[in-house]
Amino acid sequence: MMLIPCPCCGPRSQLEFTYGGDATLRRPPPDAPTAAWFDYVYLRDNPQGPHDELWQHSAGCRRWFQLRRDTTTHDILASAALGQALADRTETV
Amino acid sequence: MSSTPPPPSHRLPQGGVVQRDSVCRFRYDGRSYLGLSGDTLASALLANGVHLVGRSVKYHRPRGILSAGIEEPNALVQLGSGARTEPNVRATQLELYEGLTASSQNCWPSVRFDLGAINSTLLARLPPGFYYKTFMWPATPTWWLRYEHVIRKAAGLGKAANEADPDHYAHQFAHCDVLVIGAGPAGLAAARAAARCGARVILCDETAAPGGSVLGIDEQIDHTSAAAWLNEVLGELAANPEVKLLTRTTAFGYYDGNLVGLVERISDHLPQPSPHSPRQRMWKVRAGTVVLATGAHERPIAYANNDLPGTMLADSARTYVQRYAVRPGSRAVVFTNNDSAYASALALHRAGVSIAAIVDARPLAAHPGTLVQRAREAGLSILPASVIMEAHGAQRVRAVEVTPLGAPRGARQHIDCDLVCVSGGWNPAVHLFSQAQGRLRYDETLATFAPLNAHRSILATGAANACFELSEVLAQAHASGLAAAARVGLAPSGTLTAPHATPVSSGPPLALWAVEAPRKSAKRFVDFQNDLTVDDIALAAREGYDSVEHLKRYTALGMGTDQGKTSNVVGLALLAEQLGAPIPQIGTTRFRPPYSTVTLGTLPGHASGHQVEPTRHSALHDWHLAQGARMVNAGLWKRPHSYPRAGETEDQAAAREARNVRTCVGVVDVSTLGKIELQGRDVAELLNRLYINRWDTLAVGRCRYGVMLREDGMVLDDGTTSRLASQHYLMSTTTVNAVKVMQHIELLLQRDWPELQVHLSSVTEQWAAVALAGPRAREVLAQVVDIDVSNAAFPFLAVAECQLRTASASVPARLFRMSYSGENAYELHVAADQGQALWDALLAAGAAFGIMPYGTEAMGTLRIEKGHIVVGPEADGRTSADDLGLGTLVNAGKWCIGKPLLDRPGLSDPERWQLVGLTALDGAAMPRAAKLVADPGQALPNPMLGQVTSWCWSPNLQAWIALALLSRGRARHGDTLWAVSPLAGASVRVQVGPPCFIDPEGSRLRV
Amino acid sequence: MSDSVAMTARQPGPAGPAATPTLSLRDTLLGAAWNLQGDATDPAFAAQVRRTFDLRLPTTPHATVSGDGLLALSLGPTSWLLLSSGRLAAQQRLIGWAAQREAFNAVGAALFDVSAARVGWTIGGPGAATLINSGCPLDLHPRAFAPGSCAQSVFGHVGALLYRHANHDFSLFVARSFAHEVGALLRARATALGCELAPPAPFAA
Repeated sequence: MMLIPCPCCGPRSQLEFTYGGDATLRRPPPDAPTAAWFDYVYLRDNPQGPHDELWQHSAGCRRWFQLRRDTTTHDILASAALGQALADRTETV
Repeated sequence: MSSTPPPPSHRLPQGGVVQRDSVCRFRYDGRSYLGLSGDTLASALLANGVHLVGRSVKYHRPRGILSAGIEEPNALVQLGSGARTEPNVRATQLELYEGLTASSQNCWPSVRFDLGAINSTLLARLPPGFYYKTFMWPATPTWWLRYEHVIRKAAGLGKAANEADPDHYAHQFAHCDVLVIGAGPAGLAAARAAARCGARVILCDETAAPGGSVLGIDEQIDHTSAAAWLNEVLGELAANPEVKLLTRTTAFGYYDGNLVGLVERISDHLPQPSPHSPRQRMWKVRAGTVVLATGAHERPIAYANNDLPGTMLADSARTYVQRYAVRPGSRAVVFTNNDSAYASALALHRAGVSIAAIVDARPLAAHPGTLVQRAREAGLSILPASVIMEAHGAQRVRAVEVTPLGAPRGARQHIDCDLVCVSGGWNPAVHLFSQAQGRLRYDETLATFAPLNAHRSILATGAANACFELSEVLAQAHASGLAAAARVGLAPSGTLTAPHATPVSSGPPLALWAVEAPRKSAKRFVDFQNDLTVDDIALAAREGYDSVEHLKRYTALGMGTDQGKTSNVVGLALLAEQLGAPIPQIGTTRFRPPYSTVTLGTLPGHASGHQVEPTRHSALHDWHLAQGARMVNAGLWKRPHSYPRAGETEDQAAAREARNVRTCVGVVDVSTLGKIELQGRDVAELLNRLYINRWDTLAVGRCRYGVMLREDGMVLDDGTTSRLASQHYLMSTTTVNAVKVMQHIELLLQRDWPELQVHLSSVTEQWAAVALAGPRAREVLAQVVDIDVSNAAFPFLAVAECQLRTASASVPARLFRMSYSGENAYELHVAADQGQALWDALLAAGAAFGIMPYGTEAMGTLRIEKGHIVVGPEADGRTSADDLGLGTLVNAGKWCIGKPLLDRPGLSDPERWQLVGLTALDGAAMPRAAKLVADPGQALPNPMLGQVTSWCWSPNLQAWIALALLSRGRARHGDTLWAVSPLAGASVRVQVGPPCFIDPEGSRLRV
Repeated sequence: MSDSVAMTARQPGPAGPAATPTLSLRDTLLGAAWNLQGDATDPAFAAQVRRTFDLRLPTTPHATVSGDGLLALSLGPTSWLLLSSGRLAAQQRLIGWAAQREAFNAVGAALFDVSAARVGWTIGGPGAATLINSGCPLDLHPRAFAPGSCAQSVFGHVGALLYRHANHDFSLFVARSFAHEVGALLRARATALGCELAPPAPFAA
């Protein structure tokens, strides 16, 4: 069970969090071509390795934030509040 | 049972750490024996001269106690009877208690005379990969169908209990700076060093008595006896409030974020568990650093008949002598490839066991190690460069054949013995290290896999780190304890010295996995639990299973309840030998949790049965129950189905309640609907972006129905939002989507629209909500509120804050004129702790008007009659607003979430399923969850035109009606179709029409 | 809930070390509670907080500030829970609630009445942290969670708010609809630890 560093509350048990999917998605402008909307709504990368994700500290401060997580090791590489840059920590197994 | 069993024949008169003044009587396979507190079942059986404890799975060969711990593959027993019976308990770990009853497994009628051994010729011929070979055939062979149950029964292990588990299980979270796993000499030294730095330490050990390999030994530590040192360390740890020692506790799994799962066996060693105490407790320990002091498992050597009872791992034999004061035999042969077995030989010798020979595969060493020298000095006979080729015996070993290593046809030496102590070297218990993705290295000198100690959060130390000599173990573990404390920034205040022991020198071991077979039919076992031999592995390699993961799955190597603790490394080394590849290239199989078997009940802990998930109760829950209502699930909430009166069925009650709302007045508890309060300058703008309809036109004191879409344009949720004041709104969501909608809005505000000044708070729990509906609703309402509720003063969709008169007080309330039933209706909200007072006030005020409470069934009936959708049945994630007949709500003049994708071609497909109403014809009942077809007689697959989504008996129409999603539904009004349910065997003619059955103009709402 | 713990009862604990931690469990009676949201760095908001509640909001995670019969708990960077111990004082405040809400709205902030939304228990004694950690994954060592701290987490499957009055003295709050669920869990686990069930008492801010 991961220990997730909430940018607001510090490291907390995964039990307190809700996963929100890919953090890199950006909603296209309303008049964007349909293909752009299909990309945004349906198409997802499935990266092996670092993945920037949205999580909400739903049983805590209720803030959504970004988490960079290695999908192969579950290592948490960085977390940051929305709108801030994710900076990698340099820890490896 | 009346006669006292004889005293144990093989108990040593002194020594051991058993309690000699505490005698336990126990039964094994129907016979009574005597043992001591501190014994395991295995040590107590050995003390009584019992070696034969089971039959092997496949060949039904007699098997004895191989080990003294968790690695035991043979001595599995069925413990107890009735609801608490437990299969596959390792006798080597089972603590003896007064009255313990156990029996051997996998043999019938008895372990000594086993019919299976005679009749299992079929089983004996099953090759490795039997299952795969069987099922690879084009069709499952018919003989398999006939014999499957016989094979499965014979190949089974113990029997699980048939009754419900009478015990309960607990969970506990814990945190520490340093978690030390294993309380042997390494674990104790590490824990003490870390604790002396001020670290919070949890130290766990799977046995009842900490001490591990130094329990009962003669050596000195810190210039005192090992026992005195143990007492001193344990005393120091016990006195430190920051240290927690957990005995009878096995660390079974390493999980993300340095979370280690421990299982503490609280009452398994007691004859009767305490009623208050859980049977087992699962600890979820979040550790700063884990010190792995899990020791090592000795491995056997494969030679012909190496499975005969009386064959034992050498260090286990030593353990039985020194810890349990048991003489496991009278005349022993020790077979080894390393120095450690000499300690066993010496201990056995001192305990009066005659050492017939020490058969050492290694040539005579020029500079023999300390223990070898001691053995020589003790006059023990050592046969260098020799191996046991074969053991003889029926139900117990009685002799071995010794030949020179590498010369199987050389001179044979026949040595009589009743005990063979084998040591093929040691495997560090690296399971948790490997689970934590720590890398292993193959140590050629020690012929073993050892941790590559560069893990950020786990330090393996002592034997778990392939360090086997006591003085080195103590020094290394002490350093590990200091290093673990340093990782959390803690250092000792002064200089700490490691515990001291006299160094013992050792010669290097010789890698030896198997001895050549004396003849083709000889069986040399690698995996005792799965009856897997050296030849089976060779066959698998010849058949192309050249990866260790494939070998494991093909042959079941290491897949027993012991998880191959004694067999995995031998098996992969033999595979390497077969393939002519170096061992590191073959590698180990992946270690996965659990390290050892975990009782299933421990994993959910408390969350089983009706507590598998939490339930939510409204403020009126107890009242509903007092009326005899059956509670049904709505998400996590419990809601009343209906309130049957004496002599009424639930359906009759629901019909009466629904009829009463149309003709008179009813009240229903709607507290479970999600409620979100919004405050701020930009709430209307937020609502515009969330809902398909317009919100900036909503006046204070008014409410409006809205539909929210997902990004893909499908309906997410619906509900009513009210404007209570200029910057103060209340949004209602469906019961099941309340949490999801709140999170959705929070994400949008925090990520996408931080510029909107909107604050929101979930107030579902703050307010009890009751709907009052029916033609007499206004008359009832007027009795209890302090505002004018006439149609002119408080029209349809009006909202107001007011005071409600309850029996004892006047309380603030919110009043909404909105309707789900289609009748003139109101919703009243009061603080949740006033919910019962509100309910009572309405029932009292309505008594004169024939008020009745109604449940979810009547509520559903009323909304089906009106064609109101429910998110779930109708809006099922594939339906658009237009499909549901709500397309006109979509405001063309503004953007909202999901709107861009409403234009895609698929959503304007004329074949799309659209919401319709159905009326059952021919007096038939509407089948549950039926599909709609044009012709029920058509051959399968009969094209499905749509499906029934909600259905009920309408007491107001006196007909079975339904809502349905139907292809080209709006064009089919007036058509006749068939609702069929192959499951129910029902096929009913239905008439298609608009979804609203009652008052389609909505005139009743506005009177 | 309160009816089931109205009596004081001593439950014998099991024999052995598990009986050592002693603890008491009682229902907490909450006066009133408000959820206050706004930008703590905005002077207008801070001034309005002082006017209405006569206190300064805590601005670091897990921090609390106590005022006159009130405790302000940090729920998030822009959200606070104000708990009132006195029922009477709380009711007086509630009367002017709409005006206070308007005042906060006027400075771009918000005030929500959540007085009935939560129920709570006071858990005291050396075994208190053990009882809470039977369902809550927070590290409750005084070094990690000092007296005066608060945190939102879970107890079992249910969201929970925890406040530490003193080393061995906690308040645990959950949503009202889970009161029966968490109350039963707490009582069952407390009994296994050898617990004294105490009569309800008002929240001590």
